[in-house]
Amino acid sequence: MPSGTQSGARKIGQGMERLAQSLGAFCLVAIFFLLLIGVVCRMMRIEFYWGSELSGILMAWLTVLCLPWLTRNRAHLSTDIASGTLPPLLRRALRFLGYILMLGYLGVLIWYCGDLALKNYHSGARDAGILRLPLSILQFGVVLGLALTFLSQLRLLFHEGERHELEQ
Amino acid sequence: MTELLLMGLSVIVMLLAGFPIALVLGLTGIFWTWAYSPAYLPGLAHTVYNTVSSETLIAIPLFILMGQIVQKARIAERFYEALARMLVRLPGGLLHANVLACGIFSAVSGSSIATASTIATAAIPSQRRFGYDLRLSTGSLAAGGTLGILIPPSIPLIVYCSLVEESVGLTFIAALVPALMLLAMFHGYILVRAVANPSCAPVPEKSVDDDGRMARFVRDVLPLTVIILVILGTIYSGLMTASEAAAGGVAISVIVAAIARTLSRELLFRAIVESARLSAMILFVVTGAQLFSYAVYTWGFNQIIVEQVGTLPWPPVAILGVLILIYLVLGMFVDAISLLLMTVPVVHPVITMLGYDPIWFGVLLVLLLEIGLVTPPVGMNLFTIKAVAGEIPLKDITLGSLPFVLLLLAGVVLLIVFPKIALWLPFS
Repeated sequence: MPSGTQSGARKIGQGMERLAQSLGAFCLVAIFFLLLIGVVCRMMRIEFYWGSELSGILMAWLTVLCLPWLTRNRAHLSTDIASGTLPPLLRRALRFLGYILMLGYLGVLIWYCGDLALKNYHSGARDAGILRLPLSILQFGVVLGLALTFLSQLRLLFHEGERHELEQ
Repeated sequence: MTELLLMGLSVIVMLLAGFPIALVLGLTGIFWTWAYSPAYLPGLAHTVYNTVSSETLIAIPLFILMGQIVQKARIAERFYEALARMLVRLPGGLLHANVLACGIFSAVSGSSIATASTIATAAIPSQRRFGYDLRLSTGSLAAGGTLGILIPPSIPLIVYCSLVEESVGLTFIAALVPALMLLAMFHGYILVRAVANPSCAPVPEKSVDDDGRMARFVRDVLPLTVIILVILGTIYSGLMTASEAAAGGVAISVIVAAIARTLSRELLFRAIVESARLSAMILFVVTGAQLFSYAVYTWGFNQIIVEQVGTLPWPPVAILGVLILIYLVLGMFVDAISLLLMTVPVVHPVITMLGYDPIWFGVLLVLLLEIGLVTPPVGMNLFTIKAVAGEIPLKDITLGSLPFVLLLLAGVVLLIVFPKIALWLPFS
């Protein structure tokens, strides 16, 4: 790939991860206010029953929107008790394998979650809560976050491949 | 049964390969669901959506945010320094401050690593200056930090409750007395050691300064105490759910940081972003664990295990003993939340079949996970203290923690012999 295109793609990728993370952080702040407002309203006997329902949706988005950053920075929880003792070449091979498996895992999740979101969108299914929001609102957000994570994982794989080529 | 063993083996192999735990659990779940019948695969999507939007888990990001604010606003360090000033003249002086400050701060932060690093940074220089036995000192810091995952609000307990569908509020209340019991045991041990051998914790001839000591003590100790009391008080009184109490905790920590004049826009921004990242990290693992559970339940492994265990000619306590041994061994290698997520779907049905209370087991399980934090080779608290303490050998920190590990084990035995320790308060 030409270096100009490469650096452009990198910038877009980084910008996308930063934006997704900022949206995730915004979701966290919104959850905080929703729950706090719920408590205050209850004390003042004002009806506000849908705070925790909306918070659930926001938490789902928060989780998937922060995943691209975690993936890109290899910040997922793992244990290196055995892999840390392996020779560097084998360690790298396992890391590659881990990236490919993660792509496969995310791919399966996107496929099935996307399928369900589409079905719910077409059928107009709504959740059983007070807001009766369309289920596809939550679900498309989750699919989008997973798709962004997939792209970040792909970038990580290419980056690792490039580094390997340079080292050789 | 062969499939069950293969499933367990696939988890262990991928874990040893160093793959992310979320991937290990999730991929295993997907593969084994597919192996059972591809027709069940669409059910995975429901599991994902239900997990990431679970109202039980909403408390996790908020408790993490509260801990981040408290940590970044230096409230914990002030808390430690105030305790140290007050307790320095007691036998064991600053070691009591180590345990108390670690216990209380880790309850607020929800992270043993954050606690160990924050309190150890403030504690080790003064203890070195006063000539404390550094083995005992670092051991008390490492062990004190473990209490946080038991003292409510506890993130592992929230995760446990979401997996077994128990009340978070009741489980928090159940954990309170065992946590206080362990805290008392730690203090008792330090007192005995200091009385038997005063050179391990020398009492300084003169206190640093006595002017306005009480006023400063109240000012520095009050914030964390208020946060804990508000959270527990509102949950216990039924005024708030665990998630609402977490939001209240965030609000109070912001107010406290503002009063302490350590609050800034940058601090808040960093705390929010960091909390969002940590929450996503944990919730992604929880999602993987739920996919794993989905496969376990699809195959009916939980039933098979329950039936197999039911045919054993052993009393329930012997089976519990075997489970405890497994947890102690696994806890040496796998971190607390991952271990909890990997095992609860399989172990919980066995526990209920044996007639044990799931809330009681949740408390016992977290106690066992605590031990894993201070036992080598993967004792996260030991590594954290080592990172802060610098030249103190890891061996010394580990040996210093050993008596506290024995106390934690004594706590496990007490909880098994007297389950009321955990159960009387929530059901009184």
